[in-house]
Amino acid sequence: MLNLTLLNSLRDLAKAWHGAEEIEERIIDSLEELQERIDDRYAHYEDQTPPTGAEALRDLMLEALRLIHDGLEEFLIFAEDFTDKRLSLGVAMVEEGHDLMESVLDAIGQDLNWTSGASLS
Amino acid sequence: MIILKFNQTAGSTPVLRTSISSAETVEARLQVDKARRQTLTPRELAAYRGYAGEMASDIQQVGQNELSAQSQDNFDLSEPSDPNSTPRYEPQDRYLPLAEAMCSAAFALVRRSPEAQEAVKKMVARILQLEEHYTSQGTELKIAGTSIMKIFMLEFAMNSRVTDEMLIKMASVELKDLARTPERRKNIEERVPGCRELITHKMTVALLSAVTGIPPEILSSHCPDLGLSGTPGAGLWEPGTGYTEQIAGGKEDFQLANILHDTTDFLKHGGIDGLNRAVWGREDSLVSAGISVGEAYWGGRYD
Repeated sequence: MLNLTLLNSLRDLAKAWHGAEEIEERIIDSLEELQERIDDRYAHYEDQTPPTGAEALRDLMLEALRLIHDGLEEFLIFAEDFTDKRLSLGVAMVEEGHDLMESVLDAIGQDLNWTSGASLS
Repeated sequence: MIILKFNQTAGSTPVLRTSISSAETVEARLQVDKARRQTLTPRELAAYRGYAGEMASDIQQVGQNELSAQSQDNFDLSEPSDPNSTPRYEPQDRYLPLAEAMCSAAFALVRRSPEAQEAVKKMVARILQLEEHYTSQGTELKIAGTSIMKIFMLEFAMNSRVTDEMLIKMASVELKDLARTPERRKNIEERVPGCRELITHKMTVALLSAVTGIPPEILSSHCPDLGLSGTPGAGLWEPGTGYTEQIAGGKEDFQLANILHDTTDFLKHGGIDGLNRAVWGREDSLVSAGISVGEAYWGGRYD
């Protein structure tokens, strides 16, 4: 089960920012910092050739990271133009990225045959 | 589900584009990967395992949204500590998802209490961490295809004679019960130069470190005879190079027998009563050592 802290914090943020006309700079800094971290992971997986059998995992991971990046970008743009619909769109994107990551995590965790085979060789 | 995305450049108005990523599509893509994995070689599986483990860790970290700088303690303690205190390390978080998956397979075969399961999961995570650590230094913790993970799984985690209590207690073993005196350590290293560089030493240290949580560098410096045949009080030699062993042949069998027996016997001296009996059939150090040598002589237990 994927940790929901990121998703829930953005949902809370969307509620808190709804109708806002001013945004605290430290929250923007936090979002930018998180986005940089996502970008770093994206670059990491994009630059690496995945091992055989992990191609789809890698593609889905990239897709998930991209969605989360784009979702965070919506929040950051909202901080400039205060268009409320960006918040719901941002949350939807992060939710979608979250779902994809959960699928990847499930696939890694449930595929027991290869793990035992690899370790007990 | 339909994903709406925006292609953006700095300062531009987002341009809507759409892509479709249904649950069925995701599942189908994952199934393709899974089918490919059925035909992988052990080396390819190991590469996949490392990649997937890292990915699982990254996913967990993204989900946790830790905005503060994250730091993870490693077990690399360069200075040997006081043997009267016992330093321990926790496995890094990124190894836990894979360890959990691997343990699920083991626990399907041998029933363990929740406390024992948690202890075993940490041990497996430490082994994964140690394997990566040693691999990065150019050492593969494996002899004749037998890894410390295989030894641990078969002899400890999936050995029903090794009780939950034993497994849980391993994390409480004190360094002072294992450590040699400074004089003895010096003597051992003089008698067997380079003993701490032997693969048997590294594998024994790693296995003992994984089950006790004591950093490998600490164990190695305080117990340089780990992975050597014989005893400090009598003869000491590299496993497989003794007179009888050379006649018998099969150096790897003696090496593996030594790694396992040193681990169980050191743990016995650390207070894990019954472990020698659970693994070798006899509790006495000398008798169990004899059994391990006898097994190796007749072909070893991992053939």
